[in-house]
Amino acid sequence: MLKLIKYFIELSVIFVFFPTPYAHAIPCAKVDQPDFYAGEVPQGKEIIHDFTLKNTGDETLVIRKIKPC
Amino acid sequence: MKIPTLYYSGKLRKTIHIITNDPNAGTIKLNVSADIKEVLVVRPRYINFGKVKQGSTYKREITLTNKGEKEISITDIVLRPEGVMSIEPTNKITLIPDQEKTFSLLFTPSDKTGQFRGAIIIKTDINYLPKKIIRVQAKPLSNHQDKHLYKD
Repeated sequence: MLKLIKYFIELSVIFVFFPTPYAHAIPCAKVDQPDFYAGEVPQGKEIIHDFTLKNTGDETLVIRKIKPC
Repeated sequence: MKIPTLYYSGKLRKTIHIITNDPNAGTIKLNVSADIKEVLVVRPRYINFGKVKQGSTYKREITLTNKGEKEISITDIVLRPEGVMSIEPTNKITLIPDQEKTFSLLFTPSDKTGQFRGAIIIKTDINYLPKKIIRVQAKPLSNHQDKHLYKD
């Protein structure tokens, strides 16, 4: 039991003091406003809207697929 | 994101799914919604005469209503194909808001049997809605088929 506690303490120390070598870099995709309501639009008028996709992670974000539904 | 609205009326909702390498994001959904208002209402939206006899003339009424807030000019009405359909009146018209105008479509099937597919192209002066199309279809029967049909 003491051995196990000692092991966990050691592990905690490693994570607290040396986090970088163990941290796994990942991309993080963020869209602030994923929903857009265009209001009343006359038939025939094109709806144009820009969404901003941000990568707030620390690895390159790759867009693998864009699928309109 | 660009969404053409020519063929929509009422509630419109479109979604785009984005798949990335972000392990925590899953599929990102981007949603666009709108209420599409028909400024120039054309009824009926399509015409199906069904089975028709060669040489006979069939009539349908088409109503145009201006549901917008500005005048709309109907600059031209084009019939495709030419020769088997005609429309009355043929003069150019202007519709003030809430005004309604009725046209008569006359269809005289030619000697071609099989499926007839045509179109009425209503051209307007609205820059974002240069035309509205009414699809027309019918099934002209040959005289032989016609006799057979009416004997039964």
